[in-house]
Amino acid sequence: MRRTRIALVDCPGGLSATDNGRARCSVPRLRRQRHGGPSLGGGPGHPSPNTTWLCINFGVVVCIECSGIHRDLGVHISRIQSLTLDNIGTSQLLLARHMTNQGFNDVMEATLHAENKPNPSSTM
Amino acid sequence: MGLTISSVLTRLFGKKQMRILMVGLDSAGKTTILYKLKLGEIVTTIPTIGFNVETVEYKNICFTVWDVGGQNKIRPLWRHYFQNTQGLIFVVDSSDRERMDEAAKELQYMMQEDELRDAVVLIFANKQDLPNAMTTSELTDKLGLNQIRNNNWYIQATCATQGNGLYEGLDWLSNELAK
Repeated sequence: MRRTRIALVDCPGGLSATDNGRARCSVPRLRRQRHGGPSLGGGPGHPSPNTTWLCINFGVVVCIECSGIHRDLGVHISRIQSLTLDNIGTSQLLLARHMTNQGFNDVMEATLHAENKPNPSSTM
Repeated sequence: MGLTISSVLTRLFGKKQMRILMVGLDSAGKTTILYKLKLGEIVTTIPTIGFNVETVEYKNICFTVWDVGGQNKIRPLWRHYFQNTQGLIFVVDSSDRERMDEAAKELQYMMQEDELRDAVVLIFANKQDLPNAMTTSELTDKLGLNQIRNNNWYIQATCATQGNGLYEGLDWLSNELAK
């Protein structure tokens, strides 16, 4: 509960300005994240301007090409929504705020050798 | 007289046309279905922003299939494609139980549209290969299909990635067109 409140205060623009309960102001901030996902375009630390797709169950943002790969996996693995074309719930935006791509990769890639890391041209 | 003969000939030998609108929630598999029908292969898709349109020939019928993006905020655009639509294909992800109510709502909204009063409705219960996919009878209940009064409808289980069920659906559409 407390963490949530901190996030609300943190959010640029102030989260009190919600629109129908949606935390709209979180979106620009999420979009500024570097892509660097496991599915990822660009590689870690490579800033991508096109990360407008949110994997709502992992709390990571990806580009449209990678969102297509996530959708192929099925909703029992990854559930993709658009930051711009869908109405995303506050809780899901907050999850992504707290998770961050970097945080997610730190866990998921903890034991991964760099040469095994998939890149955008990897096959399924 | 000449006109009559030519129309008879067209009826016998010519290609019939059918305008199909394919809609459904995002990630249901609409684009995958479209290109499986068109190319016979699985293409890597990305979310559709806008629409895709292809003609698919099957059983001497030329289906013009419009595939329109399904993200929440672009669903209001669907109605701009309703005019002259003879067949509506509503695609659902059968494994996405969480959003089935949302899909049901979208279908019900469309069924109230005057421009779709003459359209036949084919429901593709897609992604049948995924774990915990809903069966067609479960979906009939969940989508409230028995409450559709004015349109002929049919539900077909499909798996677009293997091509199962797609042509059975088109068979039903072509039979409806011939009526």
